[in-house]
Amino acid sequence: MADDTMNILEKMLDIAAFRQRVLSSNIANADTPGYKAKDISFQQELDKAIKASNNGNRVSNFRQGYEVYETNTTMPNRDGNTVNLDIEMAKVAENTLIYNAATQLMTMKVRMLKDVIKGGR
Amino acid sequence: MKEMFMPLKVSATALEAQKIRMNVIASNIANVNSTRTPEGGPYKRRDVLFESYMFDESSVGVNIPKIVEDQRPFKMVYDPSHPDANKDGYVSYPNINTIEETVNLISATRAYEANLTLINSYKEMFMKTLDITKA
Repeated sequence: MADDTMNILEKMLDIAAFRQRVLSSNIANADTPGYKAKDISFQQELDKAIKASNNGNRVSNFRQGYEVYETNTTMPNRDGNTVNLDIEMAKVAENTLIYNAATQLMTMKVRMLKDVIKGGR
Repeated sequence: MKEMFMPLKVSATALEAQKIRMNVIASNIANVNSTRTPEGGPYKRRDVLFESYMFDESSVGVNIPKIVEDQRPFKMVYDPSHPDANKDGYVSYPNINTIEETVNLISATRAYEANLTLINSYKEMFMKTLDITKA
């Protein structure tokens, strides 16, 4: 029943939810000395998932860990902390938008399926 | 299911930590002129120690393991009429700089708001997810 679009949307939600965890950790530790800001690449993880699904793996079975890397900053604080609150907040905004877009599309897909099941009634 | 609410937990630890920090800053500002304390001597400026707290490798909260005393020297002010003046007429005032405290307070407020924003955005994301079933 779930087609490719739905699998990809599911994956998008999963990646965005994971990224939200990483970003919340960064913002929580904005004042922790020595903490290094981390991130994942949404596009790269999604590409990997799509590639895997083209090779025949169902997307949600493809659950390898996401590649978390330390972000580059122009300048760390004196205490070695590399969290830049403004950049992190912008990333959160971006991530929330992606997530909301994916949920919207998912809702539309489900609605279409329901319409089909009901035969247009 | 357990990891679903991780972002909320992480941000909550940060709210807690920033609130403790604010309490400490408030105490510092309140005691900017206190020359007497229960433990004797002028009030010593206090500061918080932040420490990251691992829930798992992607969820890192924050924790305040202890509150430390600032070891900077006291401010000496010449005021022979003060009851706590030493034999040369100098009074030791706490090692607190109100401007520094205010800057820290702004930073704590910002961080608190940022974490609150995150909790709200995550809540919104979660509710949107639940709405999928309502299609």
